Amino acid sequence: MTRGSKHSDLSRETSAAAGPGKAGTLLRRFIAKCATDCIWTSLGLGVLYVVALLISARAIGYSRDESFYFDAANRYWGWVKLLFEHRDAALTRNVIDSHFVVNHEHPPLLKTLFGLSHELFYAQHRLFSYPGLSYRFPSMVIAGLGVVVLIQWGSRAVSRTGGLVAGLSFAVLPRVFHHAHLACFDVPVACLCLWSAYLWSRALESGKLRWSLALGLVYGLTLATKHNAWLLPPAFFVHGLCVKGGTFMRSNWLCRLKLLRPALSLLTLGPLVLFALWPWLWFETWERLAAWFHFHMSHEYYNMEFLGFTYWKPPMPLSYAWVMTLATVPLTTLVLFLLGGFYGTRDMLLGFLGRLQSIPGKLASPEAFSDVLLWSLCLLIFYSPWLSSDTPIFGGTKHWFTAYPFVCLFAGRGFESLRAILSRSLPERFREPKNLARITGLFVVAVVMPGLVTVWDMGPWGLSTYMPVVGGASGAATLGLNRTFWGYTTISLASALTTRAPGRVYLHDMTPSAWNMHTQDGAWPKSLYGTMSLTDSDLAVYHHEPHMERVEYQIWAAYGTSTPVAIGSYEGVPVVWLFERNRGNP
Amino acid sequence: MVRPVWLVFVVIALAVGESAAHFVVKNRAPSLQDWQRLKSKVASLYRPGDLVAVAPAWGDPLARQALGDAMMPLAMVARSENDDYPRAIQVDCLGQQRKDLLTWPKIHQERFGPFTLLVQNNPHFEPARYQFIDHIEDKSMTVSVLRSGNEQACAFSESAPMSAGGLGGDPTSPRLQFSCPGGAFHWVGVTIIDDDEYQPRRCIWAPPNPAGPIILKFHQVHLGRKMVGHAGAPWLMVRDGVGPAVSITGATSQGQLGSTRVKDTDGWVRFEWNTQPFENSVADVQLTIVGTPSHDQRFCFTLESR
Repeated sequence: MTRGSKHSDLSRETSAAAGPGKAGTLLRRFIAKCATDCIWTSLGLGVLYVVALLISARAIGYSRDESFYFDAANRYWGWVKLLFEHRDAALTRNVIDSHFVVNHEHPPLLKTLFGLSHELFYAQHRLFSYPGLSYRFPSMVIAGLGVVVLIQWGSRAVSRTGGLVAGLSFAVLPRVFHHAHLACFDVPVACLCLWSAYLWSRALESGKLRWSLALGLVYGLTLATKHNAWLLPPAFFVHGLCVKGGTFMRSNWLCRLKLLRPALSLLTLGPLVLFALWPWLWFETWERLAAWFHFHMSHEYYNMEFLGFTYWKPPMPLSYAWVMTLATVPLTTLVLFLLGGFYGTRDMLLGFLGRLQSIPGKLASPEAFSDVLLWSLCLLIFYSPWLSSDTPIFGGTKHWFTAYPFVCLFAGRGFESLRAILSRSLPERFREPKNLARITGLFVVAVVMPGLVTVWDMGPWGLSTYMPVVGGASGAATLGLNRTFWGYTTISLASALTTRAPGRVYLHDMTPSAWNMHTQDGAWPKSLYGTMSLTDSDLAVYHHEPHMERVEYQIWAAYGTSTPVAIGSYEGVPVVWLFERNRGNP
Repeated sequence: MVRPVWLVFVVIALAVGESAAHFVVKNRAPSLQDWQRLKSKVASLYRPGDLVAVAPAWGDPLARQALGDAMMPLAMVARSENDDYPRAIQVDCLGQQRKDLLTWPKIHQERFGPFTLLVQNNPHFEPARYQFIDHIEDKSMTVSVLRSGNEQACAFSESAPMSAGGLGGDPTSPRLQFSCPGGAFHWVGVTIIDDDEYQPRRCIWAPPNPAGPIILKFHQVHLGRKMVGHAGAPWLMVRDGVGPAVSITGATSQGQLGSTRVKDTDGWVRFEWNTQPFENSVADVQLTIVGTPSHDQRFCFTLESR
């Protein structure tokens, strides 16, 4: 696969094949194209990923944060509609502030897209059969595009199979697969950070203005998604200095300005896009920017269980991010990542020493070294907050999702090195292209299989899922790793709740908004009411976290029993359970 | 260049092994059906008064669902210690055993599906002569606040409005309670709090009252060699340790039985009072709880005579 795409071929073929009764032919050609052309392979897999997310979404309950974003999405989209209908009124400060004060600690891009998607795909056209899915759809699309970009970048920098392994490894990371369903920002910002890094690489490598402009635009979208975007510029600038520093020093001013274009675009266009997309910043801009910064730099500490201890204030355990990565990312992917890091670093050093000839193919190109360096820097920058014991750990693994695309790119790099070793070691008859392709295909399937089987089985229990290296969910529970958070698993008790309708259900760790969305989705009868008052309730749902057990004890004391009537469990480990007033004995 | 082809096979073996391991670990722990089948088996071993305990601890809700309140009553699930129980039935799975029962001699052991069932004798068994928590609702018991030298009674109600504070709030106030001056959490009754390891502790809620010392009077208490108690406050509410100590003092008309001070940061504290001089006597016991008036202090305790 050479650099550059062949997508124009498909459009020609598509035109030629168009006509009545040609749908099957078109589909066959599309599949054939996907099998042979990198851009179409990545697009095909991206679409497949979105379809997989859509199909599996219904079983996954709404988390606390999603419910806040549903409300914000409705408010933000309400403002957009007002803008089209009553522009002058919409642009007044009072109206803007009243709409965007909701959840103003996070920028608006995704929430606005959630609102747009709900309006288009549910309120106006019933593309989706239940409203919750329409809010979640934008995140899924961005996740699918993330897979596409990973495959593309991996293909450019490593090889087609390397790119494929990178994209697929990311897609089947169990925690990523879970979060990719949610109307939240964590997977979208990981994907947008990846796109920004890719565009930085292209802009720096090509020197072309259009890549720089695209970089500024996408970085602006990243900023408008979540604050993780703040971390990118330092990584980019160190990378730029290492890769183009020498050229910069030797160039005249005109060339220097050209070399600076990506950075200038990043620092000017990016913030401008953020400003344009976030009306909350249109008034008291500096104060509100400072408040945004302050909120995340001094975020309150929530409770999180780790190795049997509940942390709620600093010092947080420095091993948290590393142990949780080990416990939740397939070991195979991590080993490939380490191999990719080793071979990538080795080749980079050989490159600096002028021994490029000892490295095979495109891996010897200066661009490949540049990419390896950029991946390393992005990886370090996104894990760096967890080098401080002051960094909160409440978000589980999602707070370093931004590093995972780069972990997977290295895994693709590691895979490619192994594939090269394997192909050169095979007996002559296996080196024929057809046989080699089959062997490579099996190898790809093998290395993504641990993630795939986990994702296949985990269903709605994404945050309870642990890899076999810690003994799965039961091993993790025994070790004292967090079993669940965000109160999203009530849906697993839907049938137990339904059989007990009508009644008032005490919502522990779940927001009324999330409950209502499930009710709208038809998860349980409308005769079941969510209530925040335990003492007025007939049923009580308890989501397990050690520090929340006190709520379970309150339920026991209120209901006079410690016997749950139903339990939602994963791999035999109880995650969420239901109590019924005066129903102690099974 | 060196071509470590073995690395390829190591990675393939790892990938296949990890995929296979997934299927092993996912079926390792007992299923809900396994737990349900356990009921009749444990019932055949169970004697009233037995302690039923589970290892690993995360299996506890599954055991509670399967065995119900009859074999795992609330008072046992939220106990303060094991010494009150002459025997234990330990339900183990995944090769785990409870640390607190490791030294108890086994009198019976058998496999039942994915479980190992152990019946164990308690070498430290000390039967309680009088458990104060069982008498909090006695008509003869009184609660009052000592205000300027006068005792002001806390009214007993059998139908007080219940309240529960949720994650950051106070524990559930029961219908049966003594309502004391100060409102809010100033009541005396039986509830369940979280200890410093977030474990349940069923106890007598008796927070120090801003109006003065709070006095609980129990009648006809059977005294033994010692009194054993536990005391503390809901851990999540006090774990940052901002309040001064609370003291609990026990006395009869014959003299003081003992006194203990507990600080917020102490967690769930075990204490013993030597009552040998009063052994085998029956007396009225007065418990006095004193805090610092300027602080909203929580306090819950258990006490029993042995």
